[in-house]
Amino acid sequence: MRLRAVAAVACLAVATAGSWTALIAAPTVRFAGVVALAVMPAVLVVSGLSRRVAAAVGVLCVPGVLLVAGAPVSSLALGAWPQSVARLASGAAQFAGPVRGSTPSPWALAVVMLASGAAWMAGATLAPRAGDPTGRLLVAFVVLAAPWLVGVGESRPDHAAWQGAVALLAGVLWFSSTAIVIPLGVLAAVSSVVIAQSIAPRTRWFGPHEQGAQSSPFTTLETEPTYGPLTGRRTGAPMLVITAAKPAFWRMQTLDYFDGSGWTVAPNPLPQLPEPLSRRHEIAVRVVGLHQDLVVAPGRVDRVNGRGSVGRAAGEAWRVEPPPRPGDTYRVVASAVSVGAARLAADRAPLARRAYAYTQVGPAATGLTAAQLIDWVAGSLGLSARGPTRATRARTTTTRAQTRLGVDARIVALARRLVAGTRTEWDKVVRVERYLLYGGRFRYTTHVPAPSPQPLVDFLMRTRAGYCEQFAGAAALLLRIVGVPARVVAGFATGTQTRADQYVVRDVDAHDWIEVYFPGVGWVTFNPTPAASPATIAAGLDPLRLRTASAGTEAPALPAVLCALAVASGLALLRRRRHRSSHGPLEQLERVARRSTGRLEPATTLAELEEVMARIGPRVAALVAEAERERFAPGAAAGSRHPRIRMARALVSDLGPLRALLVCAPVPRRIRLWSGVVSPTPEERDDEQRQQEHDRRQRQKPRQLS
Amino acid sequence: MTDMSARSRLRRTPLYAVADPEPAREPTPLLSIEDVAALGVRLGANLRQGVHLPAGVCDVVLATLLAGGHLLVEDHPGVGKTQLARTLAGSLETEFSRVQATVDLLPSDIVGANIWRPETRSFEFQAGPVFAHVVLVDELNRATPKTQSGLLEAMQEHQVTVDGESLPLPLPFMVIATQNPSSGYDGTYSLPAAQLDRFLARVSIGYPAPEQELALLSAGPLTVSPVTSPAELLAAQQAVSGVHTSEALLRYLIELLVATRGHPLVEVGASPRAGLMLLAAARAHAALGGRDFVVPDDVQAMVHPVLRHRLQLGASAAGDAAGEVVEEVVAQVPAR
Repeated sequence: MRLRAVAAVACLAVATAGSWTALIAAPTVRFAGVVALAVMPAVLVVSGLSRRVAAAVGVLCVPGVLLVAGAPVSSLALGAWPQSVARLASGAAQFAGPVRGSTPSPWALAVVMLASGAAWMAGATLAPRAGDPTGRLLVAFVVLAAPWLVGVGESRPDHAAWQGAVALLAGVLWFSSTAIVIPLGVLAAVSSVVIAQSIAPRTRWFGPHEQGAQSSPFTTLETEPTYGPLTGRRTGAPMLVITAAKPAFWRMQTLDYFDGSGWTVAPNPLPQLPEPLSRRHEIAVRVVGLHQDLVVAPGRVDRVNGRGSVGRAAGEAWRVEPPPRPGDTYRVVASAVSVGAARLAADRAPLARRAYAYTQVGPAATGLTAAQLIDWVAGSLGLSARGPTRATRARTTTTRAQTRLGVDARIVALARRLVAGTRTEWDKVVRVERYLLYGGRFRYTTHVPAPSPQPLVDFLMRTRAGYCEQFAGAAALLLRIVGVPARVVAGFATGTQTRADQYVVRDVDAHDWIEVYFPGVGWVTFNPTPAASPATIAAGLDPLRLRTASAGTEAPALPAVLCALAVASGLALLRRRRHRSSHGPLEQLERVARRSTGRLEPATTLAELEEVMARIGPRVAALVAEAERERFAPGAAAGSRHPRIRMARALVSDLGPLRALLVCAPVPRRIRLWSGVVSPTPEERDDEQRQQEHDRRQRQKPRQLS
Repeated sequence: MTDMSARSRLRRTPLYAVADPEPAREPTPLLSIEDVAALGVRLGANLRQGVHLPAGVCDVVLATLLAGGHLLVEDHPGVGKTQLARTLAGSLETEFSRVQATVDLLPSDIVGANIWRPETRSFEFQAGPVFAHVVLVDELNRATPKTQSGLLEAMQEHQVTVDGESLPLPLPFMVIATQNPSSGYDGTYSLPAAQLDRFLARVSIGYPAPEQELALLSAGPLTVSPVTSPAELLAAQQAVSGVHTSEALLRYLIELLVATRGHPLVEVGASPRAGLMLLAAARAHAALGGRDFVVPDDVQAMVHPVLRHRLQLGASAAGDAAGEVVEEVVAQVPAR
C-alpha cells in the first residue's frame, strides 16, 4: 500500500506540474525542482514516516520552494517576510483576475506550489493508515488531486490527456489493494492514451508534435488575422528586447475594418480620433529575432528614430526600410492612454461624428450607415429624443443590414442581448469581455481547423474555441454591432520582464487584442483573451482586470481552494492533536522509556517505569512519579499542562541537549527497505515475542497434563 | 494528615468489620498511614525474627493481617507454618488458640458448646478455641467437610451460633489455617471452593535459605515479644480501609479479573468477591508502603496470593497452572 500510495502521489504531482506549466513560465528544471520539493512532505507521510518528521521537512521545504522557484535569498530574511508574503499574495492574485497569461514570476510559481504542497500534505495526512475506510480514502484522494484539478480549471488546456492518464493511474494506485494493480494501472493509462490519440488525433498531448509539423520558425508577425492554424513554429525564442518605463501591449498595426468575414487593415484610412488623455511614451526596441519592417510601439506612433528610412503605413503602422536586422535598435515616441476603470466608467462625452467610422460593420456603401447606427444606439440607450418608433425602426434596419452583409443575425441578437440594459459604453465593454472570458463558454486553443468563410460567427456560435485572433475579433465585432467604436490591434504582448524597465518579447507573445474608443479619453486597450494564452501580459494593462480584481465580482477559484485546503489541514491537525492529547503525558513517557530501554511490557507499572527512567536521570524519573500520582493519588490535578515541553526540559537537564534530541527524535514506525524487507519496531517485536511465548505455553500445557 | 481526613476515613467500614457488638470496649486510637507503615515494619521485623520468611510472603502475611483477612498457609510439614502463626499471635499481644484438625474433629470442638452445669442448674457456654484473636487451624484439610464448614461462619461473619444463639468473636479476628499439599498425602479432604474463597490469601513458606537454616539449628526458634495491641491493630485495619483507590486503578483491577474469566485454561474465573479481596489486600499493601493511595504495583504484589487459589481450572490444566494463569494475566493487562 505504501509504495503504491507514494507512486500515486508522485503521479498526481506530475499531472499537477503538467497542468500548471501552461500558466507559469519557468525553466523545466526549475519547475521540476519546485514540484519535487513541494510534494516531498506528502510523499514522506504516505511512505509511513512519522508525520512530525514530514512536517519538519515540510517547514524546511517552504524556503526551498521559494529559492528554487527563483525568489531572491534576501526574501527569506526575517525582516523581508511581510514583503515576501505580499509578493506571494500578488503571485496568487495573478491567477485570480480575468486577464491572465503565462507569467514568469517566481512568486506565482512559489505560491502555486506551496499551495499544492499544502494540499498534498493535507491529503496524505487524511489518508487512513490502516483499516481503509473507503470514504476517507476518497476524500484524501480528492484533496490530493485538487492542485491538478485547479490547474486544469485555471488553464483550461486542450491537451490535458496525458495528465488525465497520469491522474487515472494515480487513482488506480491509490485505491488498489493488490500488487498486480501497478502493471495493470500502467497498462490502462498507456492504452487510454493510445486510444485517445487514435480517436482524436487533433488533440495532441505534446506541443512539439504540432510544432514539428510546421516548417519554419516564427520570424514575422502576420498582422492580419487568418483565424486558422498558427503559422510559424513558436519556440519561445526572443524576438525583441524593449526598454520602456511602463509595460504595455506593443502595438504593430490596427485592424479597423471588418469585411464581413474577418478583420483587416482598412482599405481607406479612417479618420484619426482625438485622444485627450493620451501621454507620450518613449521606448527603445532592440531587434533580436524578428524580421519585420513594421515597428512596435506602446500606442499611436509619433516619431521613430532608427536606421534606414521611416514611413507611415496603413493601420496606424510605421515602417522602417530596410527592415531592422537583429541587433539593431530603434526608438519610438508614441502616445497612449492609460486610465483606470473609474475614469472610463465615468466617461459621458458624446461620440463625435468622426468616430462613426469605427462602428461600421462591413463596407459603408452597402447600406449600414453611421446615421442608422446612431439612431439605433440612441434607441437602445433610451436616449433618443425622437421617440421609440424611430429607434425600433432603426434597430430593425440594422438587423436587416447586418444580415444582408453576411453578419449572422444570431450574432446581432447576441450582441444586443449582451448589452441589454446597459447605459454606458464602459458597461457594454464589461459585458462583452465577461461574456468571452468567464462562464466557461469559450475555450482557448491554438489547435483550430482551417478557417471557414465566417470564422468569427463559427467561433461565437459553434466551435467556441480559438485563440487571440478569435477572441479579439469577436469582441470587437460584438462591440461594433452595439455601436461602440472598437478595433482589433495586432502586435506583441508585454513579454517577460527581465529588469525594471526591460521586457523580452518572445514569439509566443505575438498577440491580438482590441482597442475601444472612449470619446473623453481616447483609444483604450482591452484584452478579451483568456489566461491560457501563452502570451505574457503584464498585470493591470486591461482596465477591466483591475476593476474585477479589486471588486472581486468573479469568485477567484484559487484563493477559495487555498482557504478550503487551509481549513482542511487545520481540522486534520486539530483532530490529530486531540487524538494525541487523550493519551497525554503517559504516552510521551512510554515512548521515551521504550527508546531508552528497548522494550516495555504492558504489565510494567509506573513505579517500575520510574526505576527505569531513573537510569536516564532524576528529573525524568520525577516526571514519572508525578504521572503516577496524577493517575492514582487522591485529589490529584486533572493533568499537567504541556507534557511534551516538560518532558523535553527534563530530558535536556538530565541528558544534555544532544542526547535528549536523540531520545526524543521520532523513529519511523516501520522501515520499509527497497528489497521489501520489513524491520519491525520495538513494539512490534514485543508483540511477536509475547505471542510466541503464549503459543509455546499453550503447546506445553497438554504435555504437562499427560 | 489532618484530623478531618482521619475521621472521614474512620466512617468507612472495613471489609471484614461487622457492626461491633460491644462498641465502647476501649477507645480506638486514630492511626495515620505512616503509623500503619511503621507498625508494618515492627511486625515484619518481629515475624522474621521468629520464623524464616521470604520477603514477599512476609508482606502478604502482614497485608492479610491489616486487611482483616484470613490466611491459608500451604506447605509441606515442618517448614514453619505453625511457627508463623505462633509468632504472629505472639507479636500481637493477643489470645492465641490452636486447633489440630483430625478426621474425628467435630465443629463443636472448634466453636464450643453449651454444657450442663449441675451446680448452677443451667447451661453454660464453654467457648471453643475459635474465641481468640488469632486462631491457628493446623492441617485444615484433615478435618471433615462438616467441621471445615463449621469454620465458615466464624470466618465470614465474625460470629458463631450455638444453639440458636449468636455470639460475636473478638476483634481483630484472624484465622491462619495450614494444610499440606493435597497430592501425596492420603486421608485429606481438599477444601471446597467456597471454603477456599474465605481465605484472603494463600501462601507457601518454602524451605529456608542455608544461612537462615543454620541460624535456626544453632539457636532454635526464637520467641518474640508483642509489638502491638489488638486495639492498635483494629485502628490500623480501619486506616487501611480508607486508602484511596482511583478509578484508573479500579479499572486495572477489573481488567485483571475479566482476563482471568476469559482465559482458556480457566473454567471459573475470579469472582467479584475476589476483586473485593484483592482490593483490600492492595490497600493494605499500599499502607504498608506508607502510601495513602493504591497503585498497580500493590495489586501486582497481591494478585498471586489472592487470586491463585480462587481460580478453578479446566480439566486440561496441569495442577500448578493457576500460578501461570495469573502470571499471564498480569503480563497481558496494561498496568499504566
